[in-house]
Amino acid sequence: MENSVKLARIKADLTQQQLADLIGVTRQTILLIEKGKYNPSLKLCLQICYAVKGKLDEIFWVEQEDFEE
Amino acid sequence: MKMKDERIVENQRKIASEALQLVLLFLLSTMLYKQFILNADLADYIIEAIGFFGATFYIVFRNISVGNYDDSVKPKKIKKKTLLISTVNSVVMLATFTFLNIRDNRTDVSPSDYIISFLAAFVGSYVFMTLMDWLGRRKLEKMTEEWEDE
Repeated sequence: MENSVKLARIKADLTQQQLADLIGVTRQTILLIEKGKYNPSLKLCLQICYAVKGKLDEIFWVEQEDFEE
Repeated sequence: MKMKDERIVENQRKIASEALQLVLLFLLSTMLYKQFILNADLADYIIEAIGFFGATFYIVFRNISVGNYDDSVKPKKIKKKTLLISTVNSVVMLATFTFLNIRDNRTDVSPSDYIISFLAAFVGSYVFMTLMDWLGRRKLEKMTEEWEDE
């Protein structure tokens, strides 16, 4: 699913590895989330939001017309 | 829209995973019971052995093939863990070897046989685990490169 994790991470001046270390996942998981190839759980989404100091509805929100199953 | 409740799907997967663990435990128990208690021939428990080792290797190789490898763990820590597990494996192997020799009243077994059995189990475990670790790391690096290129 599309998201703005990469943008939020760069704004927060974090590398993929730094973000991964902050929330306790592997760099590859961050990479896949940014690519939209892995759907994180709500808990992980919130951890990312707290780490990059962003809001859930800004980073993970998808408009209904763009939403695909 | 087709109903696909994620709570139900998750619970079903969890149950299937638990069932697999129970089946593996049952297969291992059956195999050990036939081998050590009933003194059965290999042919009598070969199906259980194929099922148990087949499923075990499937789990290991599938995890490697999908890139389920945590490369953040330091090589020193991995080496320590590998050494510890190899030691436990060799002790179990040595205990089994000793148990079988006592049970069968074998007098032709020399101390060097015990040393060889311990070392063989240790080296076998160590080489296998190091190989799996190397394969896991290599596969993850390859997949990461592919994902980054996209």
